[in-house]
Amino acid sequence: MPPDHAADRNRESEGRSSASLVRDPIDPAAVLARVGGPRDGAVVLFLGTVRDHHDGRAVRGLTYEAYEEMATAVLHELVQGTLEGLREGSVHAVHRLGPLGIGEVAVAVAVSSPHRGPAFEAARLLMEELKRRLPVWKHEYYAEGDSDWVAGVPLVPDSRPGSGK
Amino acid sequence: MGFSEEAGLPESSVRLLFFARCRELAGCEELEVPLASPIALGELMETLRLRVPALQALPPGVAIAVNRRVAGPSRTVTPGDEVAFLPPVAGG
Repeated sequence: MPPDHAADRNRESEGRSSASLVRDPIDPAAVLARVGGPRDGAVVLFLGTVRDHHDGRAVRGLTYEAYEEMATAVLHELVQGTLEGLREGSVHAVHRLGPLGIGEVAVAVAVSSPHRGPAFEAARLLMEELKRRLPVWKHEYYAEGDSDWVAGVPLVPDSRPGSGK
Repeated sequence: MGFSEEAGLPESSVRLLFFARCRELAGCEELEVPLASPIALGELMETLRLRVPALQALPPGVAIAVNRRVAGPSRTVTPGDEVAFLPPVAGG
């Protein structure tokens, strides 16, 4: 397929970035299966997992809540923006919602590209953007029996639809 | 904007959505409030504070999204819009 034809490029780019919010456990192998191709020499997988402590307190689990329609749109926008920055390769991101136990995967990001540098960088950037922009909230349950919302990052007004950053 | 059908819609309103701590403060997930004609988000907020007691003490850092885009006070809100109250986010 001639890769320099505009229509082809568009069609290809659609299949090379994907994102979803899920309520079932995230399977890292399934995340990896969404990226990579014969031109890629690097695949980076990042997993964000639930840890058993926060600010010195023992945590026994948490619940993620989301503004689902908006979070889905934002996540798609972010992976698409990441792909545009990469130019070659593929990007997939999944965020879990609902109740999670210690050690479970809360978020997974996979990036493939011809070389490792851009893949590492893109995965890192995507995670930072996701933490700043995704309308998702974390409610932690502590060992002592109480619970609270985790202090987060205030969202800032969007300048224009499609402005990735 | 949106005036063509307005006369035929006696129940012109906006849908308010509350999430996380905002949901707990409001005591509900959503509310419908009447809105007859377009208004700036900042002005709408002034009106809402009188009508919805929970909105008088929003926690710091709450952002407001209009139709799923985070908006500033000058953003126009039109009957039929979805206005969401979003505390600081903590995904990932």
